[in-house]
Amino acid sequence: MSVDRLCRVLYLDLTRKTHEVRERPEVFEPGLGGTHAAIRLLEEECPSGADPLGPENAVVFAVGPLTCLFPLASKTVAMFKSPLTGNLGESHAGGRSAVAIRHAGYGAIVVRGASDLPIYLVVGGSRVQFRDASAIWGMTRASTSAKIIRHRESGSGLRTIMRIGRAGERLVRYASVTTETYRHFGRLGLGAVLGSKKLKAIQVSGRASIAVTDPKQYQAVYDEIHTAAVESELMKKYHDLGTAVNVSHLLEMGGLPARNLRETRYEGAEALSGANLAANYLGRRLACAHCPVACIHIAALRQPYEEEPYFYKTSMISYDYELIYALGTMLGISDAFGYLRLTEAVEDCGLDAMTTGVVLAWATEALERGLITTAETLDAKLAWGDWQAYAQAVHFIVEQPNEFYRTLAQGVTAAAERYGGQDFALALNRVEMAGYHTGPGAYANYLTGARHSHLDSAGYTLDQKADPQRTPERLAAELLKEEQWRQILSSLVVCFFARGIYKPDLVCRALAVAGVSLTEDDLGRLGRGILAAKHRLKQREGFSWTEYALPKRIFETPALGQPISEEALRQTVAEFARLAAEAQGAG
Amino acid sequence: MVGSAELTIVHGKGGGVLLKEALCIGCHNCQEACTLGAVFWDEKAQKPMICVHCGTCAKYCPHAVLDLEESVAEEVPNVR
Repeated sequence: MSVDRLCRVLYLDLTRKTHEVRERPEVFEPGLGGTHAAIRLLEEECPSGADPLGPENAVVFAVGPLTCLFPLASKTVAMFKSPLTGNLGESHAGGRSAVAIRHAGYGAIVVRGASDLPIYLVVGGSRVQFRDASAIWGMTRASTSAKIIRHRESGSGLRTIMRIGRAGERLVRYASVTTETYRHFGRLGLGAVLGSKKLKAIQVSGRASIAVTDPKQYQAVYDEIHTAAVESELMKKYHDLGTAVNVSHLLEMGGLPARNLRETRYEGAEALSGANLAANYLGRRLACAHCPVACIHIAALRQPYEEEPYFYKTSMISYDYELIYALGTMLGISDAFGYLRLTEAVEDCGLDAMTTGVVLAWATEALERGLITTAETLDAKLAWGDWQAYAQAVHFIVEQPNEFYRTLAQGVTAAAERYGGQDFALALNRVEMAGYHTGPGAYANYLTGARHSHLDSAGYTLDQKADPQRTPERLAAELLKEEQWRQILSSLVVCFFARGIYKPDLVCRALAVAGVSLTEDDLGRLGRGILAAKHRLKQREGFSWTEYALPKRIFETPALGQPISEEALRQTVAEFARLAAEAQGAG
Repeated sequence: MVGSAELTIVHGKGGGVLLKEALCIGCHNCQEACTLGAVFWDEKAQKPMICVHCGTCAKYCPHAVLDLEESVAEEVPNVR
């Protein structure tokens, strides 16, 4: 079996219920997948000005050359036009998705058109089945619909099931796609795009082999990566407490947004720390396919039935730092049980937890200030810490019974445009902020990152490494460089947690075994090119580096004890724009 | 699901579905088509076993999870 199977693309046409496999070596050339291939495919598939929720929008799923071969290269990159921002949408998820797609014999899957009836797809190697999903469309709990697919279809153990919940069906602009129950294509509304296509789920499985050029060298590089993964301190941290380990750390430093970023700490927040969750709720740990780290932490939440003694329902709920921020501290929750129950409500309907938390935090403050009343919230008495009221609002966001909730379903920017309170609507370029109020690096990152995600350029880590020499110009250059390099990681589909292991030299050696010959210079050039391609597509869809609003709140609350300077932040963004334009020109 | 010009399985008036046994040729298609796996098979009669809404399950559910209610077709979700 040859190594060029990565270049096989599965095209699924939902309108005509047909599929086609095409060899597209030019898309993967010189041997990268992930974001590198996805941006090229999206450019081809998604016409300028496409309605994100129209049949003309396309969804691309892409995996990479190291997927299946090496540990920690198990992410799937999804690209689409985002219904939340109206611009480039990109979201990554692990689980078994990438490994299943590669073993099915594909480097990418393109979803086109829209179905007239609810359907789900079963992809098994080259066989594709379009199945009627009418009976599972509209189910209150997304996990139940997934369970039915699991029982009905074969392929257990090797497959991925990527599915949407009620939020996606109802086109909430920040609906997510869940894979293997606990992992998510969380951000930017992929769930709504699939919902608009009446596509409830995609199951993928296969048993294709992947060849290596030199088995001996393969073993050597494999061992090097594996040893680094199981022995590194960073990985140990993610294995032990998971990403939740950062809660105490950020609280202590004063960088964890709390109560709609009115503060960075409050009485009771420590209840949500990784240590407390692990001690009282951790039920099991899981790993994505082909990952020795197992950072996925799952709480066992035992809930008694009120009417009967000794009778319990136990739910398994995955928790992570970003969810604890958004559905915990941002809403002033001070008990772990309440936080987990709210997470469960969000998982049941398939919403992006981060956007949901920021939307609810804005709504709480808007209610406090009288911009809205309980007439709008339909008696949901949103108040810091009251997880039951928030769970009620989550249900309304999905069902959208009135204009207020229809607006909330479009994100916090839309809500503030309609009801006011822009100064405390915490989104940058229409994307709700992540859980890092650490300084100018974080905000410059949210504003300039191609996805407006904290993961684009990790500005929050720069903030935590204080450097008096860091001028706005220097910060911009550092962010750009990091984002360009991350394009390589996401084109290999290496988990960003493993960025300390997959350094340029190792990447070249791993690629060589996979039959891809590239130098470190090539990687640098390719990274710059991929980011420039994203910027081109964003500009085509109307993105501008100069038109953005900054909620005043971010300058009012000290970040790591220091106020953020608006002027320096704007300078950083302007410099980033200049450098990005230069890179675009050079490419 | 179509055994002849007439439908073998039709929507019941008070909710659920009805089997017109005389038209059924025992093809198994209804069983295959049910996403939820709710159609069982009577091996002796070679006919599907379709719920007749007798309410026994609701009566014996130990946790009162099930309830038998009458509904009109318009209120049944997913009827297209």
